[in-house]
Amino acid sequence: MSMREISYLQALNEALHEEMARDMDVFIMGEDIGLGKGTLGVTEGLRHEFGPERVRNTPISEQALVGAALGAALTGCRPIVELMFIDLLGVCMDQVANQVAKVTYMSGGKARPALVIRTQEGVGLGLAAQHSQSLEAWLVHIPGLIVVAPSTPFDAKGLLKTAVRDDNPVFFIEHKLLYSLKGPVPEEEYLVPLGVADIKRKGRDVTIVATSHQVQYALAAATTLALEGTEAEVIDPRTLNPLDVETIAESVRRTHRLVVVNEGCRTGGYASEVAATLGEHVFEYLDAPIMRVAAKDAPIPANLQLEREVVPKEEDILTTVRQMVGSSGW
Amino acid sequence: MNTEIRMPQLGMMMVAGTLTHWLVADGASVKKGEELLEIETDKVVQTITAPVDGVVKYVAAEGEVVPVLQVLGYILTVGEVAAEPGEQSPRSVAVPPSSVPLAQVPGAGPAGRIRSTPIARRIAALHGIDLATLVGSGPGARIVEADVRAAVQKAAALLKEPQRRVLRSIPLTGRRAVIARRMVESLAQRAQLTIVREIDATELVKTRQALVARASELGVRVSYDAILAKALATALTEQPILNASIESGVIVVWEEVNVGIAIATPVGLVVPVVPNAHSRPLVEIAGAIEDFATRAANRKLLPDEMTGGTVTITNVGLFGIDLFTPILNPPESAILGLGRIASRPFVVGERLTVRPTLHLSLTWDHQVTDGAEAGQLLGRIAEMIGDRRYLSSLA
Repeated sequence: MSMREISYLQALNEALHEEMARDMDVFIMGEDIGLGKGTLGVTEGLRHEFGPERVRNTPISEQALVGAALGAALTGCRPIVELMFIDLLGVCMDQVANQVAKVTYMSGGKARPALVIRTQEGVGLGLAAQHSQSLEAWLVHIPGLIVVAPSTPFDAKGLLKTAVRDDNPVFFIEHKLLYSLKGPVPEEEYLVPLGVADIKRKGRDVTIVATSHQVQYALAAATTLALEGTEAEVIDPRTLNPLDVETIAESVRRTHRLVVVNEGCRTGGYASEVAATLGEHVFEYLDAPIMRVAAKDAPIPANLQLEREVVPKEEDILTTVRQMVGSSGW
Repeated sequence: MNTEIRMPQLGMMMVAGTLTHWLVADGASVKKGEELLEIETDKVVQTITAPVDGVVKYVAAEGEVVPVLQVLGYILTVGEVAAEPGEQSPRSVAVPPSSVPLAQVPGAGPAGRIRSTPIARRIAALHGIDLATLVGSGPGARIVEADVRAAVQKAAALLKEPQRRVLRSIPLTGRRAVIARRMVESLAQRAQLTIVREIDATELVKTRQALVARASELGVRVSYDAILAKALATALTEQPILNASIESGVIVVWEEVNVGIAIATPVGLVVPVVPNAHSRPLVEIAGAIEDFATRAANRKLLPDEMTGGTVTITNVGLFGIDLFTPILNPPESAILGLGRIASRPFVVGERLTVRPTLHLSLTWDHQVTDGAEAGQLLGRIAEMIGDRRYLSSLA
């Protein structure tokens, strides 16, 4: 495959272009997506290319937006919804949890809402407590939803295209700090399968499972650790639910140590879920307790310096791994 | 938390070790990794380091022999020791001094759970390693993977070593100890060396056969030992320098030649002495030796009969040995070794013949004299043994 470097944002934009061109049933709904670039820029150029019928601006009502998309999906369309912030989940949670996720089951499998809800999460822009959260834990708790969180341009494009083509509702979580990240993406068309984790770096001493933007910190930490003689394996689940348990378990059976890194709050967080699941699978291979590196159980401050103190960063991963592999104890 | 320090099992055969030294005072603080105590087994001395930070509490005393895995002492977490009595948490071990022995604290005794990680347990089970035999290097002395891997390696190394199981242990006491001490003393203190001559034993064999034929007339079966004892004694009267002892810096040359006869018995070598061999007839010497042999086998020799020797004869021909290097029997300065009499190629004049020959191995002390004298002595004996007239004069 011939590669070029493009940003995560460009990769998503390409995926939308390609899937809309490929399938006339695909259309987009969201707030402020039709004018110019859209709030975040992911939908740039789409209205110009595909027209206002397929790139639709909606009122500021996430409940109506998700509900309308579900209705369209039930009639055979393949809508893509842009939920501007994951923090807005609270507004549309009844549609998400009780309608979108349940309709297949409630209809005895007759209704298959092929619906993608794109959103973005996380810190990085100083947007304070109501626009900086990482709420994937809310979503993975709901049976009936596929939850995806890509960490590279390659994964973002490949996974979004697969999500659009999948007949199940998919929650597609992007991250504020990843949009500008550049990486190799093939010129040719490709897909990344749902439910398959990716080993971002091989290592023998400790397995670091990280999600979304934290994968970048995990990779940076692994580089530092390698200089200290500790080879960390970094795994991105990519699909948060269903989790690719076997790829992670296979890794931990080799390394005997597992750290789970997630930007969500520690208590009841996604890191806890991965830790508990792996504990059930690899207990007898562990040489140290499974450790979580997660955000403090606190609101995200508006001040960027304080924001840094609440969510995990490279140093937090380093400290945890050093404790686990060293003889100083954990 | 208190951390037990146990007597480690350093080898499969180890059942106990001696706590030789505490390297940290009772009640003193110690840091993880600092040398804590020293133990000794019959094979090694090993220093044990503190597995955690804390305050040392002795259980075993220096010099005590402690069975493997039994508690030698504890390391108490500093905070808990310092806690006020009223503030003690339920799991605190900071009991007031001289109250409940630490061994009675729940979970502290040898019956307590072995702390180990799951992978450590898994690998231990795979390789049949008993976790109770390991000392953990992890937090709270927890046994981690690295500890088990090290034990697996050690066990593998042990397997590669040749097996050497004890069939029986024989204390080096009694006669064995006496022989051992005298032999080591001899080799350590005497400048001994061995010279060897091969002699034509044709006449010796003929003479001996003739004497054996007359056994009922003589009242004894004359042995080669007897003939050689007589010849040795006679040669030493002619050249007495090796019929000597070194006593307090003085070479004492003896007038009498008392010949010790080395006799193997089931309980070790004995050397009864034929006194005045130089002046006694062969038949008498032969009778004495025969009597010694009989009584040695029945352990009936008297201590007095085994003292006062001035020279010794030892015969290993019976074991098929041709020549050897006997060890001097202190305080004597010469010992004559007899090898096997056997038919061997032998040059007589310019002609290769087959003759019965005998190797005489003479070990002597170079402190007492030099090679010329020793060589002459051995030469004289060889000459006598090869001389039909001398031999026929013996009986």
